[in-house]
Amino acid sequence: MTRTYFERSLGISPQFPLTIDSNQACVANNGDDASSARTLDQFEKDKFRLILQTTGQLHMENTCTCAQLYEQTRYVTLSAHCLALSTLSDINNALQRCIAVHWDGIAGENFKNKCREIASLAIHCSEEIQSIQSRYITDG
Amino acid sequence: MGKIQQNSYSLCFLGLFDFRTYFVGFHAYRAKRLNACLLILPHVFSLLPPFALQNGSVRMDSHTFTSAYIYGGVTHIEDPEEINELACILTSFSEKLIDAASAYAQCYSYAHNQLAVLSNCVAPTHIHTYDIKTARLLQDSDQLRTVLTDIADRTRNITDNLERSLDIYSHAEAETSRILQSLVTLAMGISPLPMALALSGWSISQEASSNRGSFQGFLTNNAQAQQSVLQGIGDNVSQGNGIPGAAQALSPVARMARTVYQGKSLEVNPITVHKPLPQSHSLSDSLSNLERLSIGQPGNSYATISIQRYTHSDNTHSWIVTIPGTDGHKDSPFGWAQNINLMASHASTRAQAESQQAVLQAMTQAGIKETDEVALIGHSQGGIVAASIASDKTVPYKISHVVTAGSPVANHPIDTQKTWVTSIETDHELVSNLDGKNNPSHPHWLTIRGKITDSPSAAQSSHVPFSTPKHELSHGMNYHVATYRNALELDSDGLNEHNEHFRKFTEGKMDENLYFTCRIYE
Repeated sequence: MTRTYFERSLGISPQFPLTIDSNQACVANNGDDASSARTLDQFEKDKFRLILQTTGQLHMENTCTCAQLYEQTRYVTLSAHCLALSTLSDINNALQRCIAVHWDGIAGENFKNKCREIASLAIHCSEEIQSIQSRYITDG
Repeated sequence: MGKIQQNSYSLCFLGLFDFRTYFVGFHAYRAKRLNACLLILPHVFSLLPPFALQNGSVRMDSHTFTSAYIYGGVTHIEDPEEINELACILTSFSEKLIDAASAYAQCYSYAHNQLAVLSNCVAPTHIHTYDIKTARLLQDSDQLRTVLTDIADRTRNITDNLERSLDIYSHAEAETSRILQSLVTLAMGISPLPMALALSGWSISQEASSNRGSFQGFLTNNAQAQQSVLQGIGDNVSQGNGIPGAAQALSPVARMARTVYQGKSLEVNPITVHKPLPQSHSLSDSLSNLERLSIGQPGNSYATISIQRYTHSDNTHSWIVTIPGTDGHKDSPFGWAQNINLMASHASTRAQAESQQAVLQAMTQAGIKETDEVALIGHSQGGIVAASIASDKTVPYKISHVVTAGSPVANHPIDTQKTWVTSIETDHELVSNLDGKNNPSHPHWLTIRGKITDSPSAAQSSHVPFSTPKHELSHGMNYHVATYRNALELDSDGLNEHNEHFRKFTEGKMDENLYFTCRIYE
């Protein structure tokens, strides 16, 4: 199976080792109860460490609330946004260079048209991501 | 041709690549016993129905694909190096974009799991809020993953096209091929048996790991190495003159064998067919006509040549001569042994091949004049004949374009200032590797090489219709036509120019559609 970006780069897996306790709070499999859940501030401070933890460590250490869960998901989404935006910008720059290449004839024109099409998609996608990103930042 | 017969032909042909044959010849050569070298010839002949592996009667759809790579031809790019660099950059960024898409897939998975958790809660208000927020995250992640993947795919596609159409890696490939050839030749000289065992072991492991494994696949896995082996043997037999030298040395024996087995009276007669080939408007049409002729669709029998005349608005004529491949019939000039002569280094030796004589006689009977432009298009031996005629300075015709499909023509000294050459080859057919080296790369000599795979790869590939479920030799016209059509999608400057050059032959009205059947008698 192909490993995802976070698995390769950050060493975490998509599974959340969570169960629901009798008080309806989200707890980790290590049996900690909701009273030991950390605050959102604490979570913010720890989130880089949490993200970089392996799944096994997450099992052992993480006891979280729904807010914390949402924050973690939001964090990885914002990270994805950053990666996507920088890559789209790089691709767009390279495509603009392709469009500027001196290549006469039908094949050259067709190639440049394809580049323009992809560049347009990349710009549109960047705008969309920025819009979503600003919404998340507001949400946070 | 029935399936059993076809398979037996396949197996026999593949015997040509039986390393035992090479060992016998090689050791005989080392022992300075030229006569002993020649003893392997009957063995080779007896195993030589290669060029008949056209379109077997048992055909079924399967999952074979071909990706075309273009070598040679022109480009209108001012600075090809810049495009090479940009292609590399875009490839790298498209992979990074896939990473970003993968990150969104991860977000989606996180959000999905979170929603599952939340759905089990007896929801207080604050949980409901996170439910909505997470659902939106889920939706955004999924949408962005899809869009990024699409952009990455499109970017990867244009870089694939650049790599395959602009010959970007050809220099590296040529160097690799040269090194491989040197190593194989050296290894064959020092220790042939371990060399053969190593190649065989590798090939067996390849076939064993495939659910389409077959004996043909086992033998064709070593195509590149076998090309080097053949070149090395050719050098050994001919003292450094390669395959043409070896073929030159073997030609007298081949001719003698033909005279004894087939006779020496060649007859070429016009015939009428039930379903003549349609007018061609392009190289693509003419390839389809070649495929039809090869399988006898017009109602022709074997060894039949098609000649079409096109009259232009200025009353000049151009001609398209379509030449079939080896058929293996005893009374056919397109037999196995003729291939030896056609591969020889001297034009006069090549001209002794009855297949070449038959085509020239048919051209004379059709009334082609010295000033008329002629395009020759042939499959397998037909392509070798075309290249041989085009490289023979004594031939009184104006051969302006040669199209070969599955033909080993790299050693034919065609004057590309006068004659354009468009060659189509595939990497698992073996036959086109019999020349022992790659075709020349020149603006007027363009080679389309099909990479055959079991599944669509990252490069956009085309399905090969009627390929068999098991690995087979990719020498049938169905492979070459599919490879050519895949190449058209690359939008290559070089291929566009070759297509346009060929198209000029088909301008105007087709006013002659002639067929000639060729036979040899004792």
